[in-house]
Amino acid sequence: MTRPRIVRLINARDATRPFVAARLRRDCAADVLDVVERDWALARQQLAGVVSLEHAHWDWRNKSNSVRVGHHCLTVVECEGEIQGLVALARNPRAGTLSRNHVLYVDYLEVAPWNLRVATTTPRFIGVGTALMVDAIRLSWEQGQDGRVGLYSLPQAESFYARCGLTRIGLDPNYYDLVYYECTGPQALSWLASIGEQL
Amino acid sequence: MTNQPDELYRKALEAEDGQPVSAGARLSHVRDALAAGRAFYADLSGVPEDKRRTLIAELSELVRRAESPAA
Repeated sequence: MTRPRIVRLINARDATRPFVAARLRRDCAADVLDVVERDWALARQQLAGVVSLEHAHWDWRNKSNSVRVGHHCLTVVECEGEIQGLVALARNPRAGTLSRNHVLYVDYLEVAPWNLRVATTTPRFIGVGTALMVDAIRLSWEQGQDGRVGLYSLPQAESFYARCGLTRIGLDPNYYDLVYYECTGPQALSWLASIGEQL
Repeated sequence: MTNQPDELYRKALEAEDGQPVSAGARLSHVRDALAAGRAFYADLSGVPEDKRRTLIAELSELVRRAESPAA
């Protein structure tokens, strides 16, 4: 496990919406998924009756074996002692669609249920998804994919990935009819610059 | 004095605004595919573990051949 990096989130419970420091940890052990499932499952159940959650019925524990055998690496964002978001990245780069070059593949990404804006609650922290995508691009760069990232977005998240500068490639009938998004290296770097970040 | 990078970053986070950011298929997608007949479930618990990888590869090849246009 590598040394944590400090990232910024917005504390949405504070009327002044200040930045707060969070820790981003790469290459976490698979048992992180047990913690996530324990802490997020109850929150998902509580929210399921309030709003339609696309990511409901998702058991992180089923993914733990792929981490243990080295198919995926986990990155988490922690704040106030809890995991606020998580991304699983394929260790082997995949063939890209926008070019012949390989991309870093985001196999799944999720933020804690309490960070979702729903009808009757205010998110605790805002920006977890952005922080995870920034780091995915950085990791892609470090690994030689020049910032190229690919992923399948759930329908409710498509506008987020479009704002992250990814190109909507299209619905993939070979992957549960989900829409595949991908960015080139220049697109990734341009997005980082547009949000005041750099590699 | 304003700090433009901070302002840009804040703007990006506020745009995220607690909206869903999920990526990757869920169990519900797998269930939908099974229910629609686009996928099938095979119980391999009776197959010796050392033979499962080969069996899965053979099944995958059958599907690939069925997807290919007829010669």
